[in-house]
Amino acid sequence: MKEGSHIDELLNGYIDGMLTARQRIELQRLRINDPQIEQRLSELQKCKMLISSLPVAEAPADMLERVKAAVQTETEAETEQPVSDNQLGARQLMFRRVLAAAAMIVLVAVLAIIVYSITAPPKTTDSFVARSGKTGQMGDEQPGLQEIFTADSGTTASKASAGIENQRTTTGLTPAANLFSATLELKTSKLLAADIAVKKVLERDGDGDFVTLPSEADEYAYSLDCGVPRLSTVLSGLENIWTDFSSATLIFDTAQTEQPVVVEKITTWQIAEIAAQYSQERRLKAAQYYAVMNNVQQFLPQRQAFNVSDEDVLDLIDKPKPKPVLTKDEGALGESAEGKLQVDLTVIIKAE
Amino acid sequence: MSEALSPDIYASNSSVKVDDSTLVELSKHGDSAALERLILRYQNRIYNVILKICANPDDAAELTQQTFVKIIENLQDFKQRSGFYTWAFRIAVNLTLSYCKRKGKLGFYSLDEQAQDNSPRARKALKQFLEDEGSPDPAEVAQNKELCELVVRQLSKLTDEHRTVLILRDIEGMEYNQIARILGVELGTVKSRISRARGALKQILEGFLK
Repeated sequence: MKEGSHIDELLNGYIDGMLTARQRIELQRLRINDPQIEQRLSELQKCKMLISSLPVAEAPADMLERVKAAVQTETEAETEQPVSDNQLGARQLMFRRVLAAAAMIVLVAVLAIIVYSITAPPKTTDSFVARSGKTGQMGDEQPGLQEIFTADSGTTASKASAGIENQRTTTGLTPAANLFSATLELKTSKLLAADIAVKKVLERDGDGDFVTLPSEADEYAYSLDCGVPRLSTVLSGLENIWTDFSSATLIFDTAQTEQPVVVEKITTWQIAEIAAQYSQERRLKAAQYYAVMNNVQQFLPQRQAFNVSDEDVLDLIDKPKPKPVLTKDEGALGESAEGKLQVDLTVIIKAE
Repeated sequence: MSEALSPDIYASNSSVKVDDSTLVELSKHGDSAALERLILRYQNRIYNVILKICANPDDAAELTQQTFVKIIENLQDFKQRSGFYTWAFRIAVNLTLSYCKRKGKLGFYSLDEQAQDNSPRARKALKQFLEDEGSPDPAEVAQNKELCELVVRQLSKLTDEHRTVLILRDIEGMEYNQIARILGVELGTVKSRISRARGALKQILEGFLK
Protein backbone atom coordinates (compact mmCIF):
# COMPACT_ATOMS: atom_id res chain seq x y z
CA MET A 1 0.00 0.00 0.00
CA LYS A 2 2.76 2.32 1.02
CA GLU A 3 4.73 1.22 -1.99
CA GLY A 4 1.66 1.84 -4.16
CA SER A 5 1.29 5.39 -2.88
CA HIS A 6 5.00 5.96 -3.38
CA ILE A 7 4.69 4.79 -6.97
CA ASP A 8 1.64 7.00 -7.44
CA GLU A 9 3.60 9.98 -6.15
CA LEU A 10 6.39 9.17 -8.58
CA LEU A 11 3.89 8.82 -11.41
CA ASN A 12 2.16 12.11 -10.58
CA GLY A 13 5.50 13.84 -10.12
CA TYR A 14 6.50 12.54 -13.53
CA ILE A 15 3.25 13.82 -15.05
CA ASP A 16 3.79 17.24 -13.49
CA GLY A 17 7.50 17.34 -14.34
CA MET A 18 8.50 17.54 -10.70
CA LEU A 19 10.83 14.54 -10.45
CA THR A 20 14.52 14.72 -9.85
CA ALA A 21 16.86 12.87 -12.22
CA ARG A 22 17.21 10.03 -9.77
CA GLN A 23 13.43 9.71 -9.39
CA ARG A 24 13.00 9.69 -13.15
CA ILE A 25 15.50 6.83 -13.46
CA GLU A 26 13.71 4.93 -10.70
CA LEU A 27 10.37 5.39 -12.44
CA GLN A 28 11.81 4.40 -15.79
CA ARG A 29 13.04 1.12 -14.31
CA LEU A 30 9.60 0.47 -12.76
CA ARG A 31 7.78 1.15 -16.03
CA ILE A 32 9.99 -1.32 -17.90
CA ASN A 33 9.52 -4.06 -15.34
CA ASP A 34 5.81 -3.57 -14.61
CA PRO A 35 3.29 -2.99 -17.45
CA GLN A 36 0.59 -2.10 -14.92
CA ILE A 37 2.59 0.95 -13.91
CA GLU A 38 2.59 2.08 -17.47
CA GLN A 39 -1.17 1.60 -17.55
CA ARG A 40 -1.58 3.50 -14.32
CA LEU A 41 0.54 6.35 -15.66
CA SER A 42 -1.66 6.59 -18.72
CA GLU A 43 -4.84 6.79 -16.62
CA LEU A 44 -3.47 9.47 -14.35
CA GLN A 45 -2.27 11.48 -17.36
CA LYS A 46 -5.79 11.36 -18.77
CA CYS A 47 -7.23 12.59 -15.49
CA LYS A 48 -4.88 15.54 -15.58
CA MET A 49 -5.70 16.15 -19.21
CA LEU A 50 -9.42 16.16 -18.51
CA ILE A 51 -9.06 18.88 -15.90
CA SER A 52 -6.56 20.87 -17.91
CA SER A 53 -8.88 20.78 -20.89
CA LEU A 54 -11.73 22.43 -19.05
CA PRO A 55 -12.51 25.80 -20.60
CA VAL A 56 -11.34 28.86 -18.75
CA ALA A 57 -14.25 30.84 -17.42
CA GLU A 58 -14.10 34.60 -17.65
CA ALA A 59 -15.01 36.87 -14.83
CA PRO A 60 -18.11 39.03 -15.24
CA ALA A 61 -17.37 42.03 -17.44
CA ASP A 62 -18.29 44.45 -14.70
CA MET A 63 -15.96 42.88 -12.14
CA LEU A 64 -13.80 46.00 -11.94
CA GLU A 65 -16.84 48.20 -11.36
CA ARG A 66 -18.15 45.79 -8.75
CA VAL A 67 -14.86 45.87 -6.93
CA LYS A 68 -14.79 49.68 -7.00
CA ALA A 69 -18.34 49.86 -5.70
CA ALA A 70 -17.57 47.36 -2.95
CA VAL A 71 -14.44 49.28 -1.92
CA GLN A 72 -16.44 52.52 -1.87
CA THR A 73 -19.09 50.92 0.32
CA GLU A 74 -16.48 49.50 2.67
CA THR A 75 -14.75 52.88 2.90
CA GLU A 76 -17.98 54.63 3.77
CA ALA A 77 -18.78 51.99 6.35
CA GLU A 78 -15.32 52.37 7.86
CA THR A 79 -15.58 56.14 8.09
CA GLU A 80 -18.92 55.84 9.82
CA GLN A 81 -17.94 52.94 12.01
CA PRO A 82 -15.16 54.67 13.99
CA VAL A 83 -17.48 57.58 14.79
CA SER A 84 -20.16 55.31 16.12
CA ASP A 85 -17.53 53.28 17.91
CA ASN A 86 -16.14 56.43 19.45
CA GLN A 87 -19.57 57.57 20.51
CA LEU A 88 -20.34 54.18 21.92
CA GLY A 89 -17.01 54.13 23.71
CA ALA A 90 -17.58 57.59 25.12
CA ARG A 91 -21.01 56.57 26.31
CA GLN A 92 -19.65 53.45 27.93
CA LEU A 93 -16.86 55.45 29.55
CA MET A 94 -19.32 58.01 30.86
CA PHE A 95 -21.59 55.25 32.14
CA ARG A 96 -18.67 53.61 33.93
CA ARG A 97 -17.67 56.91 35.50
CA VAL A 98 -21.21 57.64 36.68
CA LEU A 99 -21.48 54.11 38.01
CA ALA A 100 -18.19 54.47 39.85
CA ALA A 101 -19.25 57.82 41.32
CA ALA A 102 -22.58 56.38 42.44
CA ALA A 103 -20.82 53.42 43.99
CA MET A 104 -18.46 55.76 45.83
CA ILE A 105 -21.37 57.84 47.13
CA VAL A 106 -23.18 54.76 48.35
CA LEU A 107 -20.00 53.48 49.95
CA VAL A 108 -19.36 56.76 51.72
CA ALA A 109 -22.99 56.92 52.86
CA VAL A 110 -22.83 53.40 54.26
CA LEU A 111 -19.56 54.14 56.01
CA ALA A 112 -21.01 57.36 57.41
CA ILE A 113 -24.03 55.49 58.75
CA ILE A 114 -21.80 52.87 60.34
CA VAL A 115 -19.51 55.46 61.90
CA TYR A 116 -22.47 57.50 63.10
CA SER A 117 -24.17 54.47 64.61
CA ILE A 118 -20.98 53.75 66.54
CA THR A 119 -20.07 57.25 67.65
CA ALA A 120 -23.36 59.16 67.86
CA PRO A 121 -24.85 59.79 71.35
CA PRO A 122 -28.12 57.98 72.08
CA LYS A 123 -31.25 59.86 71.27
CA THR A 124 -32.98 60.89 74.43
CA THR A 125 -35.29 63.67 73.56
CA ASP A 126 -37.60 62.10 71.03
CA SER A 127 -40.53 61.84 73.37
CA PHE A 128 -39.68 64.86 75.44
CA VAL A 129 -41.35 68.20 75.39
CA ALA A 130 -38.99 71.08 75.67
CA ARG A 131 -40.19 74.15 77.39
CA SER A 132 -38.10 77.23 77.23
CA GLY A 133 -37.71 79.75 79.96
CA LYS A 134 -36.91 77.49 82.92
CA THR A 135 -33.51 77.05 84.35
CA GLY A 136 -32.13 74.98 87.07
CA GLN A 137 -31.62 78.08 89.12
CA MET A 138 -34.02 79.62 91.50
CA GLY A 139 -35.68 82.78 90.24
CA ASP A 140 -34.60 82.39 86.64
CA GLU A 141 -38.02 81.57 85.38
CA GLN A 142 -38.94 83.55 82.30
CA PRO A 143 -42.69 83.48 81.88
CA GLY A 144 -42.51 85.08 78.47
CA LEU A 145 -40.76 82.01 77.11
CA GLN A 146 -43.21 79.46 78.41
CA GLU A 147 -43.65 78.18 74.92
CA ILE A 148 -44.16 74.48 74.45
CA PHE A 149 -42.71 73.04 71.31
CA THR A 150 -42.13 69.62 69.88
CA ALA A 151 -41.02 68.23 66.59
CA ASP A 152 -44.52 66.92 66.05
CA SER A 153 -46.94 69.61 67.12
CA GLY A 154 -49.86 67.19 66.94
CA THR A 155 -48.58 65.32 69.94
CA THR A 156 -47.70 68.30 72.04
CA ALA A 157 -50.46 67.87 74.60
CA SER A 158 -49.90 64.20 75.25
CA LYS A 159 -46.16 64.60 75.40
CA ALA A 160 -46.43 67.56 77.68
CA SER A 161 -48.35 65.43 80.10
CA ALA A 162 -45.59 62.85 80.08
CA GLY A 163 -44.09 64.90 82.82
CA ILE A 164 -40.50 64.93 81.76
CA GLU A 165 -39.45 68.03 80.00
CA ASN A 166 -36.31 69.48 78.68
CA GLN A 167 -35.77 73.11 79.32
CA ARG A 168 -33.39 75.60 77.87
CA THR A 169 -30.36 75.86 79.99
CA THR A 170 -28.87 79.17 80.82
CA THR A 171 -25.62 77.79 82.01
CA GLY A 172 -24.73 75.68 79.03
CA LEU A 173 -22.32 73.83 81.27
CA THR A 174 -21.84 70.11 80.95
CA PRO A 175 -21.87 68.56 84.38
CA ALA A 176 -19.14 66.20 85.38
CA ALA A 177 -20.05 62.52 85.71
CA ASN A 178 -19.14 62.34 89.37
CA LEU A 179 -21.05 65.50 90.28
CA PHE A 180 -24.80 65.49 90.39
CA SER A 181 -26.00 69.08 90.33
CA ALA A 182 -29.74 69.56 90.52
CA THR A 183 -32.49 71.82 91.69
CA LEU A 184 -35.39 70.50 93.73
CA GLU A 185 -38.36 72.80 93.49
CA LEU A 186 -41.02 72.31 96.15
CA LYS A 187 -44.31 74.17 96.18
CA THR A 188 -46.55 74.46 99.18
CA SER A 189 -49.47 76.44 100.49
CA LYS A 190 -47.83 76.50 103.93
CA LEU A 191 -44.60 78.20 102.95
CA LEU A 192 -43.34 79.19 106.37
CA ALA A 193 -44.15 75.88 108.07
CA ALA A 194 -42.65 73.93 105.22
CA ASP A 195 -39.49 76.03 105.26
CA ILE A 196 -39.07 75.47 108.98
CA ALA A 197 -39.54 71.73 108.56
CA VAL A 198 -37.08 71.53 105.69
CA LYS A 199 -34.51 73.63 107.47
CA LYS A 200 -34.90 71.42 110.53
CA VAL A 201 -34.20 68.30 108.45
CA LEU A 202 -31.20 69.94 106.85
CA GLU A 203 -29.79 71.02 110.15
CA ARG A 204 -30.34 67.59 111.66
CA ASP A 205 -29.31 65.35 108.75
CA GLY A 206 -27.29 67.72 106.57
CA ASP A 207 -24.45 67.70 109.02
CA GLY A 208 -23.56 71.28 108.22
CA ASP A 209 -23.24 70.62 104.43
CA PHE A 210 -25.97 73.08 103.52
CA VAL A 211 -26.15 76.82 103.19
CA THR A 212 -29.05 79.19 102.96
CA LEU A 213 -29.22 81.01 99.67
CA PRO A 214 -30.58 84.49 99.06
CA SER A 215 -34.09 84.27 97.67
CA GLU A 216 -37.19 86.15 96.65
CA ALA A 217 -39.82 87.24 99.13
CA ASP A 218 -42.16 84.28 98.72
CA GLU A 219 -39.57 81.53 98.60
CA TYR A 220 -36.66 79.99 100.45
CA ALA A 221 -33.57 78.39 99.01
CA TYR A 222 -30.89 76.11 100.38
CA SER A 223 -27.86 74.53 98.84
CA LEU A 224 -26.80 71.09 99.94
CA ASP A 225 -23.29 70.10 98.97
CA CYS A 226 -22.55 66.57 100.10
CA GLY A 227 -22.04 62.96 99.10
CA VAL A 228 -24.75 60.52 98.09
CA PRO A 229 -25.03 58.90 101.56
CA ARG A 230 -25.64 62.23 103.15
CA LEU A 231 -28.20 63.11 100.50
CA SER A 232 -30.03 59.87 101.20
CA THR A 233 -30.18 60.70 104.86
CA VAL A 234 -31.53 64.17 104.15
CA LEU A 235 -34.12 62.81 101.73
CA SER A 236 -35.23 60.27 104.33
CA GLY A 237 -35.85 63.12 106.65
CA LEU A 238 -37.77 65.04 104.02
CA GLU A 239 -39.91 61.98 103.32
CA ASN A 240 -41.85 62.66 106.54
CA ILE A 241 -42.93 66.12 105.39
CA TRP A 242 -43.20 65.37 101.65
CA THR A 243 -46.99 65.38 101.78
CA ASP A 244 -46.90 69.02 102.78
CA PHE A 245 -45.77 69.94 99.27
CA SER A 246 -48.31 70.24 96.50
CA SER A 247 -45.61 69.66 93.88
CA ALA A 248 -42.02 68.52 93.77
CA THR A 249 -39.92 68.95 90.67
CA LEU A 250 -36.35 67.91 90.10
CA ILE A 251 -34.35 69.78 87.46
CA PHE A 252 -30.84 68.91 86.36
CA ASP A 253 -28.49 69.24 83.43
CA THR A 254 -27.02 66.36 81.46
CA ALA A 255 -24.55 66.20 78.61
CA GLN A 256 -27.00 64.05 76.67
CA THR A 257 -29.61 66.76 76.29
CA GLU A 258 -29.30 70.32 75.26
CA GLN A 259 -31.91 71.35 77.77
CA PRO A 260 -32.23 70.56 81.48
CA VAL A 261 -34.19 67.48 82.44
CA VAL A 262 -37.33 68.09 84.48
CA VAL A 263 -39.06 65.37 86.48
CA GLU A 264 -42.31 66.41 88.02
CA LYS A 265 -44.09 64.77 90.95
CA ILE A 266 -40.81 63.38 92.06
CA THR A 267 -40.48 61.42 95.30
CA THR A 268 -37.58 61.39 97.72
CA TRP A 269 -36.45 57.89 96.86
CA GLN A 270 -36.59 58.76 93.15
CA ILE A 271 -34.25 61.69 93.81
CA ALA A 272 -31.90 59.42 95.72
CA GLU A 273 -31.93 56.85 92.93
CA ILE A 274 -31.27 59.42 90.25
CA ALA A 275 -28.43 60.95 92.24
CA ALA A 276 -26.89 57.56 92.89
CA GLN A 277 -26.54 56.61 89.21
CA TYR A 278 -22.89 56.53 88.26
CA SER A 279 -23.25 58.20 84.89
CA GLN A 280 -25.19 61.05 83.41
CA GLU A 281 -26.71 58.71 80.87
CA ARG A 282 -28.09 56.50 83.59
CA ARG A 283 -29.39 59.50 85.50
CA LEU A 284 -31.22 60.56 82.38
CA LYS A 285 -32.69 57.10 81.92
CA ALA A 286 -33.84 56.97 85.49
CA ALA A 287 -35.35 60.44 85.25
CA GLN A 288 -37.09 59.48 82.04
CA TYR A 289 -38.55 56.40 83.62
CA TYR A 290 -39.72 58.17 86.77
CA ALA A 291 -41.26 61.00 84.77
CA VAL A 292 -43.32 58.54 82.77
CA MET A 293 -44.29 56.54 85.82
CA ASN A 294 -45.29 59.63 87.83
CA ASN A 295 -47.41 60.83 84.96
CA VAL A 296 -49.15 57.48 84.58
CA GLN A 297 -49.99 57.47 88.26
CA GLN A 298 -51.88 60.70 87.71
CA PHE A 299 -54.37 58.90 85.49
CA LEU A 300 -54.77 55.75 87.55
CA PRO A 301 -58.12 55.16 89.31
CA GLN A 302 -58.11 56.68 92.75
CA ARG A 303 -54.53 57.70 91.98
CA GLN A 304 -53.11 54.47 93.24
CA ALA A 305 -49.40 54.53 93.32
CA PHE A 306 -47.35 51.92 91.62
CA ASN A 307 -46.48 49.17 93.95
CA VAL A 308 -42.90 49.07 92.91
CA SER A 309 -39.93 48.60 95.05
CA ASP A 310 -36.59 50.15 94.37
CA GLU A 311 -35.30 46.87 92.99
CA ASP A 312 -38.21 46.64 90.55
CA VAL A 313 -37.51 50.12 89.34
CA LEU A 314 -33.85 49.43 88.90
CA ASP A 315 -34.69 46.34 86.89
CA LEU A 316 -36.97 48.38 84.70
CA ILE A 317 -34.43 51.07 84.08
CA ASP A 318 -31.93 48.60 82.77
CA LYS A 319 -29.55 47.64 85.45
CA PRO A 320 -26.01 48.42 84.52
CA LYS A 321 -23.53 45.64 83.98
CA PRO A 322 -21.31 45.35 87.03
CA LYS A 323 -17.91 46.80 86.41
CA PRO A 324 -15.02 44.39 86.80
CA VAL A 325 -13.88 46.07 89.99
CA LEU A 326 -17.27 45.72 91.61
CA THR A 327 -18.31 42.57 93.36
CA LYS A 328 -22.02 43.11 93.66
CA ASP A 329 -24.93 44.14 91.49
CA GLU A 330 -25.08 47.87 91.52
CA GLY A 331 -27.84 49.51 89.53
CA ALA A 332 -26.83 52.58 91.38
CA LEU A 333 -23.42 53.16 92.74
CA GLY A 334 -21.91 50.94 95.32
CA GLU A 335 -21.07 52.36 98.69
CA SER A 336 -17.50 53.10 97.81
CA ALA A 337 -18.54 54.72 94.56
CA GLU A 338 -21.29 56.62 96.26
CA GLY A 339 -18.74 58.09 98.56
CA LYS A 340 -16.88 59.53 95.58
CA LEU A 341 -19.95 61.03 93.95
CA GLN A 342 -20.70 64.59 94.96
CA VAL A 343 -24.17 66.07 95.02
CA ASP A 344 -24.95 69.75 94.67
CA LEU A 345 -28.65 70.02 95.34
CA THR A 346 -30.42 73.35 95.45
CA VAL A 347 -33.70 73.12 97.32
CA ILE A 348 -36.20 75.84 96.58
CA ILE A 349 -39.40 76.13 98.55
CA LYS A 350 -42.02 78.24 96.85
CA ALA A 351 -45.41 79.45 97.77
CA GLU A 352 -48.13 77.76 95.77
CA MET B 1 -2.02 58.71 -8.01
CA SER B 2 1.41 58.43 -9.54
CA GLU B 3 2.22 61.10 -12.04
CA ALA B 4 5.28 59.33 -13.39
CA LEU B 5 3.52 56.79 -15.50
CA SER B 6 0.85 57.42 -18.06
CA PRO B 7 -2.27 55.23 -17.72
CA ASP B 8 -1.72 54.16 -21.29
CA ILE B 9 1.18 51.97 -20.36
CA TYR B 10 -1.21 49.80 -18.29
CA ALA B 11 -3.44 49.00 -21.20
CA SER B 12 -3.61 45.29 -21.87
CA ASN B 13 -2.66 45.79 -25.47
CA SER B 14 0.19 48.06 -24.55
CA SER B 15 3.58 46.92 -25.73
CA VAL B 16 5.03 47.99 -22.40
CA LYS B 17 4.80 45.20 -19.88
CA VAL B 18 4.80 46.41 -16.32
CA ASP B 19 5.47 43.67 -13.81
CA ASP B 20 3.33 42.95 -10.80
CA SER B 21 5.73 44.32 -8.22
CA THR B 22 5.82 47.71 -9.98
CA LEU B 23 2.06 47.83 -10.19
CA VAL B 24 1.81 46.91 -6.54
CA GLU B 25 4.20 49.69 -5.53
CA LEU B 26 2.35 52.19 -7.67
CA SER B 27 -0.93 51.03 -6.20
CA LYS B 28 0.45 51.45 -2.71
CA HIS B 29 1.23 55.06 -3.57
CA GLY B 30 -2.32 55.69 -4.61
CA ASP B 31 -2.07 54.95 -8.33
CA SER B 32 -5.58 53.73 -9.02
CA ALA B 33 -4.75 52.96 -12.65
CA ALA B 34 -2.05 50.54 -11.53
CA LEU B 35 -4.48 48.95 -9.14
CA GLU B 36 -7.08 48.59 -11.87
CA ARG B 37 -4.47 47.00 -14.08
CA LEU B 38 -3.70 44.43 -11.41
CA ILE B 39 -7.37 43.61 -11.10
CA LEU B 40 -7.84 43.31 -14.85
CA ARG B 41 -4.73 41.20 -15.11
CA TYR B 42 -5.87 38.60 -12.61
CA GLN B 43 -9.66 38.78 -12.48
CA ASN B 44 -10.26 35.99 -15.00
CA ARG B 45 -7.71 33.61 -13.55
CA ILE B 46 -8.91 34.16 -10.02
CA TYR B 47 -12.54 33.89 -11.04
CA ASN B 48 -11.84 30.70 -12.98
CA VAL B 49 -10.10 29.00 -10.06
CA ILE B 50 -12.81 30.06 -7.64
CA LEU B 51 -15.53 28.85 -9.99
CA LYS B 52 -13.87 25.48 -10.40
CA ILE B 53 -13.61 25.12 -6.62
CA CYS B 54 -17.05 26.36 -5.61
CA ALA B 55 -18.88 25.34 -8.80
CA ASN B 56 -21.36 28.21 -8.67
CA PRO B 57 -20.99 31.18 -11.05
CA ASP B 58 -22.79 33.70 -8.84
CA ASP B 59 -20.88 32.70 -5.76
CA ALA B 60 -17.66 32.70 -7.77
CA ALA B 61 -18.30 36.28 -8.92
CA GLU B 62 -19.05 37.39 -5.37
CA LEU B 63 -15.96 35.63 -4.01
CA THR B 64 -13.79 37.15 -6.74
CA GLN B 65 -15.06 40.59 -5.83
CA GLN B 66 -14.38 39.93 -2.15
CA THR B 67 -10.90 38.73 -3.04
CA PHE B 68 -10.00 41.99 -4.76
CA VAL B 69 -11.54 44.08 -1.99
CA LYS B 70 -9.42 42.19 0.50
CA ILE B 71 -6.36 42.64 -1.69
CA ILE B 72 -6.93 46.40 -1.82
CA GLU B 73 -7.53 46.59 1.92
CA ASN B 74 -4.31 44.72 2.70
CA LEU B 75 -2.11 46.01 -0.08
CA GLN B 76 -0.23 48.41 2.21
CA ASP B 77 0.77 45.47 4.41
CA PHE B 78 1.93 43.34 1.48
CA LYS B 79 5.74 43.24 1.69
CA GLN B 80 6.21 41.41 -1.64
CA ARG B 81 8.20 38.60 -0.01
CA SER B 82 6.17 36.36 -2.32
CA GLY B 83 4.81 37.32 -5.71
CA PHE B 84 1.58 39.26 -5.97
CA TYR B 85 0.16 36.38 -7.96
CA THR B 86 0.78 33.89 -5.15
CA TRP B 87 -0.49 36.31 -2.50
CA ALA B 88 -3.66 37.06 -4.47
CA PHE B 89 -4.40 33.40 -5.06
CA ARG B 90 -3.80 32.63 -1.41
CA ILE B 91 -6.48 35.15 -0.49
CA ALA B 92 -8.83 33.82 -3.15
CA VAL B 93 -8.40 30.16 -2.19
CA ASN B 94 -8.75 30.85 1.54
CA LEU B 95 -11.93 32.85 0.98
CA THR B 96 -13.34 30.13 -1.26
CA LEU B 97 -12.47 27.26 1.05
CA SER B 98 -14.02 29.17 3.98
CA TYR B 99 -17.10 29.68 1.86
CA CYS B 100 -17.24 25.98 0.99
CA LYS B 101 -16.88 25.06 4.64
CA ARG B 102 -19.70 27.41 5.62
CA LYS B 103 -21.93 26.16 2.89
CA GLY B 104 -21.21 22.57 3.88
CA LYS B 105 -21.67 21.15 0.47
CA LEU B 106 -21.48 22.34 -3.06
CA GLY B 107 -24.67 23.76 -4.42
CA PHE B 108 -23.75 22.57 -7.86
CA TYR B 109 -24.43 18.89 -7.40
CA SER B 110 -28.20 18.83 -7.11
CA LEU B 111 -30.54 15.99 -8.01
CA ASP B 112 -31.47 17.66 -11.28
CA GLU B 113 -27.89 17.96 -12.22
CA GLN B 114 -27.30 14.39 -11.17
CA ALA B 115 -29.74 13.47 -13.92
CA GLN B 116 -27.50 15.29 -16.40
CA ASP B 117 -24.70 12.89 -15.44
CA ASN B 118 -26.70 10.30 -17.27
CA SER B 119 -26.39 12.18 -20.53
CA PRO B 120 -25.49 9.33 -22.93
CA ARG B 121 -23.39 11.49 -25.17
CA ALA B 122 -21.28 12.85 -22.35
CA ARG B 123 -20.91 9.41 -20.87
CA LYS B 124 -19.86 7.99 -24.24
CA ALA B 125 -17.39 10.80 -24.83
CA LEU B 126 -15.86 10.30 -21.41
CA LYS B 127 -15.57 6.56 -22.00
CA GLN B 128 -13.89 7.04 -25.36
CA PHE B 129 -11.48 9.54 -23.85
CA LEU B 130 -10.43 7.26 -21.03
CA GLU B 131 -10.18 4.12 -23.19
CA ASP B 132 -8.29 5.76 -26.02
CA GLU B 133 -5.09 3.80 -26.45
CA GLY B 134 -3.39 6.66 -28.18
CA SER B 135 -2.94 10.23 -27.11
CA PRO B 136 -6.35 11.93 -26.89
CA ASP B 137 -6.57 15.49 -28.04
CA PRO B 138 -7.33 17.90 -25.19
CA ALA B 139 -8.85 20.33 -27.67
CA GLU B 140 -11.59 17.82 -28.40
CA VAL B 141 -12.45 17.66 -24.72
CA ALA B 142 -12.55 21.44 -24.44
CA GLN B 143 -14.93 21.65 -27.37
CA ASN B 144 -17.28 19.03 -25.93
CA LYS B 145 -19.40 21.15 -23.63
CA GLU B 146 -21.37 18.22 -22.23
CA LEU B 147 -18.18 16.35 -21.43
CA CYS B 148 -16.72 19.41 -19.72
CA GLU B 149 -19.80 19.81 -17.57
CA LEU B 150 -19.67 16.15 -16.70
CA VAL B 151 -16.03 16.43 -15.68
CA VAL B 152 -16.75 19.48 -13.56
CA ARG B 153 -19.53 17.59 -11.79
CA GLN B 154 -17.23 14.62 -11.15
CA LEU B 155 -14.56 17.00 -9.93
CA SER B 156 -17.00 18.45 -7.45
CA LYS B 157 -17.32 15.02 -5.85
CA LEU B 158 -13.77 15.30 -4.57
CA THR B 159 -13.07 16.78 -1.19
CA ASP B 160 -12.36 20.51 -1.10
CA GLU B 161 -8.68 19.86 -0.41
CA HIS B 162 -8.26 17.43 -3.30
CA ARG B 163 -10.25 19.52 -5.72
CA THR B 164 -8.29 22.63 -4.86
CA VAL B 165 -4.83 21.13 -5.39
CA LEU B 166 -5.86 19.65 -8.72
CA ILE B 167 -7.31 22.95 -9.89
CA LEU B 168 -4.26 24.92 -8.84
CA ARG B 169 -1.97 22.41 -10.50
CA ASP B 170 -3.84 21.27 -13.58
CA ILE B 171 -5.85 24.38 -14.43
CA GLU B 172 -3.69 27.19 -13.11
CA GLY B 173 -0.46 25.27 -13.72
CA MET B 174 1.17 26.26 -10.46
CA GLU B 175 4.40 24.74 -9.23
CA TYR B 176 4.20 22.51 -6.15
CA ASN B 177 6.01 25.03 -3.98
CA GLN B 178 3.60 27.77 -5.04
CA ILE B 179 0.69 25.54 -4.13
CA ALA B 180 2.35 24.84 -0.78
CA ARG B 181 2.61 28.61 -0.08
CA ILE B 182 -0.95 29.26 -1.15
CA LEU B 183 -2.39 26.47 0.97
CA GLY B 184 0.06 27.04 3.81
CA VAL B 185 1.21 23.40 3.85
CA GLU B 186 4.48 21.56 3.38
CA LEU B 187 5.75 20.65 -0.07
CA GLY B 188 5.51 16.93 0.75
CA THR B 189 1.89 17.42 1.68
CA VAL B 190 1.21 18.94 -1.71
CA LYS B 191 2.86 16.01 -3.45
CA SER B 192 0.91 13.39 -1.55
CA ARG B 193 -2.29 15.38 -1.78
CA ILE B 194 -2.04 15.71 -5.57
CA SER B 195 -1.30 12.02 -5.87
CA ARG B 196 -4.28 11.04 -3.76
CA ALA B 197 -6.54 13.56 -5.50
CA ARG B 198 -5.78 12.21 -8.97
CA GLY B 199 -6.23 8.67 -7.73
CA ALA B 200 -9.58 9.61 -6.22
CA LEU B 201 -10.72 11.33 -9.41
CA LYS B 202 -9.75 8.28 -11.43
CA GLN B 203 -11.87 6.10 -9.14
CA ILE B 204 -14.80 8.52 -9.38
CA LEU B 205 -14.67 8.50 -13.16
CA GLU B 206 -14.36 4.73 -13.33
CA GLY B 207 -17.19 4.36 -10.88
CA PHE B 208 -19.32 6.70 -12.97
CA LEU B 209 -18.75 4.71 -16.15
CA LYS B 210 -19.63 1.38 -14.56
